[in-house]
Amino acid sequence: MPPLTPAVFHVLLALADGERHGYAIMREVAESTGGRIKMGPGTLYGTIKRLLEAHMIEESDERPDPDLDDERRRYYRLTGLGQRAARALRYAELAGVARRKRLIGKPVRAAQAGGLS
Amino acid sequence: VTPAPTQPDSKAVALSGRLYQRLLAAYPKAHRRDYGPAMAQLFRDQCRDAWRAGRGWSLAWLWLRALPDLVKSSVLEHLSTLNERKTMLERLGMLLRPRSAPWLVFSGVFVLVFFFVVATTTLITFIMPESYGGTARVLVRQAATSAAPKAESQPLASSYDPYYIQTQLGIIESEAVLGPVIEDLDLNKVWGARYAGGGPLRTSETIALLKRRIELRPVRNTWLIQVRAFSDEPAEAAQLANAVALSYCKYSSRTASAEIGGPTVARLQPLIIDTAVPGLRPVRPNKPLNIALGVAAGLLLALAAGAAMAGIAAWLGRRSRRTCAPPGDFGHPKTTLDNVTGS
Repeated sequence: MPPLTPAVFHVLLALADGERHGYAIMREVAESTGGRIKMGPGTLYGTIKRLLEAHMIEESDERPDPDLDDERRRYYRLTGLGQRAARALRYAELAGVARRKRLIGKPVRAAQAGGLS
Repeated sequence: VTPAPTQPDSKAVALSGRLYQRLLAAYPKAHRRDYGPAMAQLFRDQCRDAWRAGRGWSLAWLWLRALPDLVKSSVLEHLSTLNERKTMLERLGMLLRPRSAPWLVFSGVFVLVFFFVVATTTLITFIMPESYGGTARVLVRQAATSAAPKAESQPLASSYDPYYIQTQLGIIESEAVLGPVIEDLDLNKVWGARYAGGGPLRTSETIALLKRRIELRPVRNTWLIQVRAFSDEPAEAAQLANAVALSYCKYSSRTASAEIGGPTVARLQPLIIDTAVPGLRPVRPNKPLNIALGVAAGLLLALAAGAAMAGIAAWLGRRSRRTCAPPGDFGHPKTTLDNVTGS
């Protein structure tokens, strides 16, 4: 599994809404982060490569509208595993926001809780 | 969905696209093959949007962001490729493990390196041209009085003077001393025929050659200077050494006569006390010494290389054993998607 870098995190979330090509993923990430994260082509395709290798995403052959789009573009979508990861990430993101707003406390690990399940 | 471009790109956009495509050469070949066209396409899209948004400034700003990204991600991809190669090495190490115990690796590498170094040294020693040496010795300062010839063999009462000896060494290497040697032995013609394809050498060239072929060495705490000459012919080496010593004696005699004159001349006249004779064996290369040095260097290098290779073999063995261990034994220290999804 690839390490959970910000790029991996945001690419998975960008694809959670549907399949996208590289440039659309890049713009989605920039929009969703308010322009804080602007990935370059190198970072984006490095991340896509790692996610493809981890079977989190896959290449899609479908084109939304071939007349409107350049046929050389490659589209990507989440796999089942990727969807589960994206959902988990959304929860993790929400938990992070809630934690920052002090709505919930810090997570307690099983090991720290003395093995209590 | 970004519509496909219907208008031709501006020159700046087209140039940027072409330049970026060239820069993709920084990535590993496999990555370039799989993602190069998509990356180039994406960058062209970015260029088009940047051009529409703010013309040249936006394009320049895009380049400022794209270049660090390109450098960083290409380095990461190369590192990733190296890691994949390391995995192959691990597999290889695992395959060879039963036959590549560290001590066996050490012995193999030691023998291989040792014989390679010794063989190379020996080969070079025997390929090098042989050179013979001839040595004459000159007493640069003699007895204190010229009245009694027997006093010439007595040492000076004054103490050893290194500056005087150094000055005499400089005089021996000067044109005033070497020029007559060249004339007497007709070295311009002889060496011209031998080394310059037949035509005579200029005196300055012959002096340069001659300087390289003589070695002057003071004998410690004495008034003696050793004049050593080298040549690929034994007779010539001796002839050169004697001619240089004689020329120096003549030069000193001339200058002493001019400066002092009269019976005190003998006081400063140098004397050849040993004449050079043709050597029976070549002095260069020193074959026994070279081979002994080769053996010593071979031992050291073989020890170092053997130890290094044995260390690597041991490390590879440990790595391959770890790779064979159950997957649960090695967790990635970083946060991975496994941790997040719980899968």
